[in-house]
Amino acid sequence: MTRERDTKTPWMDLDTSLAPRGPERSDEGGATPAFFARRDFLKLAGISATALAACERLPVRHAIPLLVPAEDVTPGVAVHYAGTCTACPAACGLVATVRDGRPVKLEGHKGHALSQGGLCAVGQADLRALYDGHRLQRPSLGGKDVTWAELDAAVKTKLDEVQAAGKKVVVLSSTLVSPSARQAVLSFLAAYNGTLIEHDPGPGAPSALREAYQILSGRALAPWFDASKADLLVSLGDDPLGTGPDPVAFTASWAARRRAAESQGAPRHVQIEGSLSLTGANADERWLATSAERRLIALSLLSQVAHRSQGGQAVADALKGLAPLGEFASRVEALAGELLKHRGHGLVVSGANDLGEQLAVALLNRLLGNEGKTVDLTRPSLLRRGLDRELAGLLTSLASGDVGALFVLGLDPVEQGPDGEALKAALGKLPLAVAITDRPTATAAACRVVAAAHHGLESWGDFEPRPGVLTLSQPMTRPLFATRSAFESFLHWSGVPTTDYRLYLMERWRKDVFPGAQAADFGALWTAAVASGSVSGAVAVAAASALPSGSAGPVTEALATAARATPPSHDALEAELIAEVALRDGRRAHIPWLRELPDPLTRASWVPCVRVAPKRAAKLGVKDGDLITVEAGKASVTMGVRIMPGQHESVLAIPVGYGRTDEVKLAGVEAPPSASAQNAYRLAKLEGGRLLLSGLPASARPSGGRSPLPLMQVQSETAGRPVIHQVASYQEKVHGEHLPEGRDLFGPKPQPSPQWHMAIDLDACTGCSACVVACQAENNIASVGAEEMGRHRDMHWLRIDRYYVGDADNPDVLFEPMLCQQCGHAPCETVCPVAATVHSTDGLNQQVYNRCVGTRYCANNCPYKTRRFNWFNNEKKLTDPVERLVLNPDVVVRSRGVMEKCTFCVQRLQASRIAAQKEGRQEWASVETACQESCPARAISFGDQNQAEGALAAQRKKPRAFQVLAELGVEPRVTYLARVRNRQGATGHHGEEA
Amino acid sequence: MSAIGHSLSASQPLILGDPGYGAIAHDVAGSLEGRPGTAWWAAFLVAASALGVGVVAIGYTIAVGIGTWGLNRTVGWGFDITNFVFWVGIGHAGTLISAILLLLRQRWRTSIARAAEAMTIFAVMCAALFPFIHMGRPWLAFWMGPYPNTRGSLWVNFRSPLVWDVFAISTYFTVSLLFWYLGMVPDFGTLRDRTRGLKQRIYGWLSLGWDGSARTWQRYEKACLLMAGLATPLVVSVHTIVSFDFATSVIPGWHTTIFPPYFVAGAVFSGFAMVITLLMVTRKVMHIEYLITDKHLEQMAKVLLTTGMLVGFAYTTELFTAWYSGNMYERFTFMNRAMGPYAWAYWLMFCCNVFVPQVFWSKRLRHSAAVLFVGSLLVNVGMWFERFNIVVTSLHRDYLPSSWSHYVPTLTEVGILVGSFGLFFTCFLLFVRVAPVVAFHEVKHTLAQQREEARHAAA
Amino acid sequence: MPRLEAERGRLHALIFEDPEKTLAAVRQLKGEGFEVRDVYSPFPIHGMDEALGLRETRLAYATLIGGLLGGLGKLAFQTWVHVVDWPYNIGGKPDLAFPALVPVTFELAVLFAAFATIGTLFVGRRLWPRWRSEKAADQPHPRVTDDRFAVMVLERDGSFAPGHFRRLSAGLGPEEVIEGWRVL
Repeated sequence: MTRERDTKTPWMDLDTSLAPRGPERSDEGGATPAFFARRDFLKLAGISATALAACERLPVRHAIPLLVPAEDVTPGVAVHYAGTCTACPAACGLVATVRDGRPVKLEGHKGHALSQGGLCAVGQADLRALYDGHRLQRPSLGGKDVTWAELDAAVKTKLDEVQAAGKKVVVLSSTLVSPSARQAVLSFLAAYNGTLIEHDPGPGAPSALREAYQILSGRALAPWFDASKADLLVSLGDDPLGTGPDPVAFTASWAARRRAAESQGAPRHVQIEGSLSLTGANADERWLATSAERRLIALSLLSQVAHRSQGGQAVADALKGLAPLGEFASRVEALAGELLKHRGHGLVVSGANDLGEQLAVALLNRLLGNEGKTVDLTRPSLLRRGLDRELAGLLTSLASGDVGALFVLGLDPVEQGPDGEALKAALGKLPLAVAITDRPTATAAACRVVAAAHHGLESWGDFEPRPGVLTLSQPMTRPLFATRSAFESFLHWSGVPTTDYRLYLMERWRKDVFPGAQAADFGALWTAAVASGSVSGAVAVAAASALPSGSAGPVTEALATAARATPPSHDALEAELIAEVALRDGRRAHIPWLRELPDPLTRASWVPCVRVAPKRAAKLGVKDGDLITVEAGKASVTMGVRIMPGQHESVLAIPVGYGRTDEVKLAGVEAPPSASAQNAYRLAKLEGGRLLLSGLPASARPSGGRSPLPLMQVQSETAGRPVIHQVASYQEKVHGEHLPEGRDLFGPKPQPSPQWHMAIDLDACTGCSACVVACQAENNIASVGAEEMGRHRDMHWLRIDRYYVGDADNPDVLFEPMLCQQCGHAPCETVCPVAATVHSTDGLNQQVYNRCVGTRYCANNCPYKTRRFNWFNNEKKLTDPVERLVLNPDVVVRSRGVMEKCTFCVQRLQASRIAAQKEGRQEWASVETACQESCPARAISFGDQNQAEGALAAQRKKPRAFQVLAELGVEPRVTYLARVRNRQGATGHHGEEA
Repeated sequence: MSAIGHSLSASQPLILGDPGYGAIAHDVAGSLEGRPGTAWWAAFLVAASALGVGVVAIGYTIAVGIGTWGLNRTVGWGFDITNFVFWVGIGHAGTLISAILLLLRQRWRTSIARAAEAMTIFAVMCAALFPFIHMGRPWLAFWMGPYPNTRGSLWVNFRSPLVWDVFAISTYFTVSLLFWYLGMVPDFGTLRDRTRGLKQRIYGWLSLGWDGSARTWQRYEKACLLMAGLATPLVVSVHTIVSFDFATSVIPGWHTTIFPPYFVAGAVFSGFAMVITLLMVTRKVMHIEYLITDKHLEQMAKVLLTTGMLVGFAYTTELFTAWYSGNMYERFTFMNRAMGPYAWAYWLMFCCNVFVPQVFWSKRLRHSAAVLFVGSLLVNVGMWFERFNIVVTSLHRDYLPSSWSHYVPTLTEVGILVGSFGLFFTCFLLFVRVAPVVAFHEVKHTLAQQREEARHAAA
Repeated sequence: MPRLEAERGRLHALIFEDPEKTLAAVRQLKGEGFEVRDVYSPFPIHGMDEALGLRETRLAYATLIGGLLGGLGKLAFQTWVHVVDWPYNIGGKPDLAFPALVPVTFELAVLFAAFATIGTLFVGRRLWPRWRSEKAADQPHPRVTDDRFAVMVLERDGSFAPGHFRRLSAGLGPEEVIEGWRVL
């Protein structure tokens, strides 16, 4: 980009080839873009035409009896059950809203010690996964459906053969966060003296982190990072906010520190990465560095800190002869200074699967005295336990044929690994290959025995994400299909007396969790625990063993080797496998809600894209949407190009999780080339007992053709409009255009309480998009598919606009959640001929679906473009009776030709009002919208704007507060708080613009 | 304009030669009484098949949904409302000629008024089609009307310009129809007395038993004058109200106070262009060049020139106010019109509407049939794109650049546009077959006055 | 022609080819004291009203009344809807947003005025669908709707001088004279 950027004007994109040209900066002009697939409108219409066929009513067999005694439940009245989210190993607390025995909405559990009430996009979408029509419905042997008895018999006999043959029995599982499940699996393995190998695909909390602490502290553990105490956060290529092992908890603590900025001083967040991550987007300062450079920076930081800290001498010596830092020298020195200034209040994290770097980071935290403050080793994270070398060992022994039986639990190594074909072949040859999963994954296809597992919401379980945090999950519904809890299967196979997993779970709790409790007490304790979803009060932590400080020998050795590593060569192209906020490691890639969720950074949905730096794109001669083939080693992927600002020129970021073979008929996805060509895991490299996902030497070439890249935002410039603001300090006032108070052509209207108002703190908002999916789940918002998204017919009531500020090579990123602003003088209302959109007494801009005739006049007249029109009969596309169970009965499903929009979750407001009136309460403003409830960062406050006190009032009074397009006099009911970029080196005291 | 009329009628006759009273009715009615020629059949087949295309496209839209069009979350209106405003505009010339020129005593109007009025009726029919089919749920269109219902207190929103449209368009259609029919009653009488058998019965029925008695004529002329007096403000109000659809909104490029006069001028402009196009064909086909003379066409060319410069003035005023307002959104919108993705449409509009009519300064070109015909066609193209610019270019880039988008019509929309032209010409062709395309009694009246003038001139 | 039924006598028709002659004839006959009942013409003849001494029509009052009814009625209805029957906060505007009510009010005024005008004309001049057979009697000449002009002179018993009438009418240059075209 040759364009000169100032430090104020927001912009949105480079001149993407998918955007129409215009004069917002007069240097544009020329041909309009390729409107891909427009010609296919007939085809598309055909799809929807066939979809017009009404689906038959739900068979009775899907009506689910209640798990709780019927007298507790009134039909049609929602019951809330506490549980734990199983969408990923993070095990966030959740509360399920259950109507007539079926969960219809998942919320975060406010009582949860870690997630603190937030629930991420993937967690929200887990509901859709429960009602996924393509789940495995019954166990099968060699592709034939069987009963569980038959399956168990078959497995047992095979196991005995294997044991007789003296071959290994191995369970390959994603990290078992559940202690009871762990015990069940281990006791099974004990019976066959087998081994458990835990492995989690995708980036985040890599093996090297645990190896580093094994060297340092004698235990292969991942410390618990607490960002809420970190005045200074330095992240090297790590994405804890977006796609780390526990994004919700980390976001909660990170945002907690930012929200406390007024009292504790502005925190600082420095991100050093090669590819723009969500965490990087939220950093105060961002450096671009390749993986090799990052390692060098980590080591250099360490050596500088070591020099200036007592006890660091050995380390400093080991790091002699570090390669020169080059351009980073001065910045690294300054950063080292900052870290030292914030001894005990800083936090350094790294996402690299590189021992040297992780060791350096660990030592940094130790030397800076962050351990015990922001880095907790006594109660570490139990979310990732696997070591890559164990996986490597498994693969070799599989190849050598030592393994007789392999149980793959909740994983899809065939798709989610480097050499799937080899593994597939090996699985085929195994005497006993068992896939325990809820999806027809490639691994399931390769295994002879497929034990169809429950969805997490159908099964019992307990979870221990970190010592002392023990949560439970209970079935929210009777199993939809003839599936079985994964761990119950193990109980069956290990031949223990209690094969009922629930009883097994209770038994373990009786012994371990409530030792010495009398039977009666236990019953009470257990019920309480199930009801609250977690055990009240702290659990005795396994005595925090004083960690051995680690013999200097191996540490310095490892450091020395790392220091001697070849210095980074500059313009070598490297591939970095990244996880996207919506798909993470791809285990939920089949959920339309997640596929349709536009990535907060690329703003693309449905279709994967390689993120390429502007300069690199120019060198390669590719435009947005051009297909590009990236080769690393002998593997390659082909995807569309997305030119991303803030991308390192020599780093190509490729999202994992796409191209799964079991992505069966995802509404209208067409992403040439073949799906398999999009499986980025193929690029990963198992080297030296470590699975490398970044810093992979790669080459790229345009492969011709274009990929449909449905972008939500195609415009590059904001034409200097004051639609979003960022400030330098928490005291700085936003200088947006404001309409003088009380300027009202029509005179005041009565404002009876409550008058709903929402405040969104852009400084806390990370753009994680949990709110978008929460809104979709709460309000039955249709998924329309890639083609419609490409036509800009997205149905999201709540979208997150993404803006850049500054230099195109490394800009600041701003997120602005945009929803109906419930204008006091709503332009949409006046123009509706049939009064289908009118104003309520509590200040809502209501939409009366059954009165709407669909003139679209209101949407045209909406300055915020937050109204969504049903171009087709979207709801009718949801034909599978199982999938229809996901619809929230509290919200009407909109038909074709009707306008829809956000109404601040009016169904919730009404419910709370009715409840309040029943109880004769006057004040009933204590209600949360779906987006607000899901937000891990607590960035959204909502309430009655007549109240002078309270969170909402406090937010609106802040100097950073502004309203979008307030100068139009439409009196929006949403207030935004500008994002703060803390540029000054020293935190704590506030200064002027950096 | 009145001055033009007088100087003209003084300078040279509106009716060439003196065919005599009988010949007028004979020539015009003759074509009705005879069989249609091949030219008519050819034209009719083309028009009817175009109409067929439209019927299919509309059926498809209603069956599948508005999604079959190129619209999106940002651009909610495209071809649909563009066509609507375009046709309403066309529908203005008829009433203007028959009403306003009647009040202005423009006698040159007599030969062309009837055809122009017919054009109005059919154009308004085409226009009225679009508000219906552009709805997401057209089967509920009747909700747009305030009718007592059992849904409790439930009425329409009289604050909405779309409701104003409903009343304006329907009133305009009804009054135009009445006016048109009123004008034809005496001529139906004539036809009744010229024909025999079934035709005579039908015309007799249509003529409401017209007798040319002096008393009837007296009331009749008074009624015509009153209707003209009603239709004149009506015709102005209709396009004013149509312009309110945009003017009352908040969208930059729509929210403009000059829209009412701007729209009315544009309507007259496009309407006259369409009248020229039609009459040049009609008079050829029906061999009544001596009734619809070059003078008539020249008069209308002059109107084109005038109104063309009016709209040109409006365009430049828009640009000026946008700049002068200092409002960044206004400024951008007009920058975007002239330089954005739809700049081609903007400049096409500008050329066709502002530059093309300038050729009519030259008397020679005003008299050249080819120039006049092509010119009138171009003006209509330009006026269609004017509406396209207003509707689409303002919408696709409004306030929040994050949701800016683009609009490309689909085949379905194009099919519907074609269909609307099909409907228009089918109706017109049928009209020239069954009704007096020239108002005999008025033309005879004009001839009488012409003779009188001639006699005065001689004396 | 029902409106003549009150009178007894014979009706003579003078057929002309030219409006000027017709007008002159009427003036002459009236001057000579003949009773010109009516004139039939394919188009209105200037000055004929005065010549026949017809008084100004009051059609305009019908128009006015119709317009007032439509306009005021609609204004009242809209106000009733938005203020009395169905007050609603729409776009934060007051219930009685008068300017917004003007367009529809105007349209309805015009519509009703038009109906009143046309209606009054048709009823007043008894213009409604009939079959020609009945009309044939009313027209002294088949081409009075085309290119002929008929002056109808009423002969009452007594006052009428046939000789004078013949001489006079011959002098007026009619195409033909139909004496006793009809006996009332």
